[in-house]
Amino acid sequence: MLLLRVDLAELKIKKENIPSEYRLFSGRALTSRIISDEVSGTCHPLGPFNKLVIANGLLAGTPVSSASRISIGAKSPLTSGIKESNGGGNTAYKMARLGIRAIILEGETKTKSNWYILYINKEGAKLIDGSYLENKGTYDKTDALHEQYGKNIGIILIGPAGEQLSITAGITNTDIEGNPSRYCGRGGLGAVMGSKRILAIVLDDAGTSPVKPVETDNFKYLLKKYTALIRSTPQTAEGFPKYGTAGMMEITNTIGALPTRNFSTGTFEGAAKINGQALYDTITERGGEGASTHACMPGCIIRCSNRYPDKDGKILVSPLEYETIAMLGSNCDIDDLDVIAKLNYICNDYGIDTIEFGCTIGVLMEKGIMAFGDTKEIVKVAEEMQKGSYLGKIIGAGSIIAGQVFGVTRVPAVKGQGMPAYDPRSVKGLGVTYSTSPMGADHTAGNTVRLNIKHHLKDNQVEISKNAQLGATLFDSLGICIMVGAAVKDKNLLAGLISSHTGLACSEDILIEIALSTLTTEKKFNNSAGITSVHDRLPEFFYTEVNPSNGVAFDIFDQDL
Amino acid sequence: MINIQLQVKVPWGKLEIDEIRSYAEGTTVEKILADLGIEVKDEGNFLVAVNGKIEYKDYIFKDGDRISILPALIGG
Repeated sequence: MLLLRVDLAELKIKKENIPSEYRLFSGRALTSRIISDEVSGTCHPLGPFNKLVIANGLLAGTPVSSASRISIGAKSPLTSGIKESNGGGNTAYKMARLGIRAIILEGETKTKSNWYILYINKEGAKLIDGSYLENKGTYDKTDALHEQYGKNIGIILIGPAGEQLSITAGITNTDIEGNPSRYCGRGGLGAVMGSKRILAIVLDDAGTSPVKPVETDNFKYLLKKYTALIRSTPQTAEGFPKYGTAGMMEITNTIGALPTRNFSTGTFEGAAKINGQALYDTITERGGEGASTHACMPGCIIRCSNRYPDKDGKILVSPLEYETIAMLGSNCDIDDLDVIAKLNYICNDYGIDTIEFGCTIGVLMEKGIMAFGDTKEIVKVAEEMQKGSYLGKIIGAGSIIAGQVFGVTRVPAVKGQGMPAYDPRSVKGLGVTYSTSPMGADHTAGNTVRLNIKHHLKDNQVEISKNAQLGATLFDSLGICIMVGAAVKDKNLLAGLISSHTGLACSEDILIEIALSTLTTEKKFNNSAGITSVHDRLPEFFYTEVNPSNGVAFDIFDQDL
Repeated sequence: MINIQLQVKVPWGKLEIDEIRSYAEGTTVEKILADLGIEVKDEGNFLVAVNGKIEYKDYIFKDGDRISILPALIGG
């Protein structure tokens, strides 16, 4: 597997071998390692010295289910620290078919007037003029690229928000049907890609051969075990396929962890209208192009995704996920799935993170810029944002800046990144993750909610968060979807799959060591960027304000961390 | 006898209940799960919340408690 280095100053592309000491590094382990090695902690995230690293996992492109996630890393313009954001879709898979482990975008173009498409096929890679796509929404960009290159491509792309260097802009990936909706959403990486003047990366794997394991028999044997575990575990065999991530709402709403009206409480009166059951019922009743179960990446058998149709059965958005439903739903006092789906579509098209958008709208609603639950106004504001309104630009700058502009003190964000859909007072382990993760407030960096522990009490939460963060980092560093974690807990099985596929020696210890070293590398980078343990804390109000659902405040302080 | 509100929302299997049920005094979470056919060794796959807070299998119910049996999931 190769590394493609794209020099934007010289407009040249070089093929490199992965350094031998990093040959077991992939996904987040590789992106964080390269950023730490090659980027200064004090660089301007949108300047010439930041780099954007895109990496797939060691098992990408193989028949291993749910192992083709794509990781993107850089110094984040939102947190000013190191960032890795991963997503699903068909791009990691196609990268692997093209023999590529990582792509690095570095330097700065000599002028800021051109836009480029990085086109990669089995012949090689080249930069093509992409100016004709400028300012188009991601859906239009995708249609144009499909017309040009056929529908059997993978596309990594940004929307107008990324082009305009909005610090909440995400990078999206096409799914199997070619929808540009699998977001590497968090941390403003879309702006970094925009600063490199690259609108889209087209991965055309036509004519490539399937990725083959080194030890076929052993690989097949272990693959059978892995698949059997997914098929026999209730969460991955029935829970996720039926309700997807939206099934989470029942849990968070019950334990007072569902952010409601800018995290003012943890239970939402309208939850039954937007939860997993409501989503499932709506999709099934409307039929048409809708689907309550759907695979975002080739070969995934968990199929936690969905395709949400409007009343006439035409697709409104795909997917509609828990985080978006909660942050744009309960957090904004909206109980209408159609409105949430429409807003999701707008965010996808414009190119910004739905979690950050929902968090920021919640902050604005608290101030009365628009009323909680005012569906007409929020859609109007979102549509104006797409046209470049000033309020839209403030929203695109995220919850912290919006809070500063409008004088709001209750802003739920850590290290600059808006809080996702779990109230930390009710899931204290995750609260510790929010506080301490190098990523900022992040629900994928070490989620503790599915553990059978007393989430509303502080006991052991620090230790539990540490383990969760290690586990999450391990999966992120293999390009394996964290949904798999409910079924496959045997890290030796993962190590065996890696060994038999790559021919490299691997073990549970080695995997844990890679995860640990990734976290250490990230913390070191953050320190060099000026982010220290002083920043390992939640916003003040979470310590003093009790969550009315359960009478609990966050009580894990600096000394405990 | 004590009355508790039992809510079961587990997507796998045919378990969907939302009603008030009566149990003898001293009933634990473990007993209720057994009645529903949920083996306690399946502990990793579901969570039990009483009045909105997670409780373990040895919790003894009080009259008026609301028990929710939920799948152990992660969201995204």
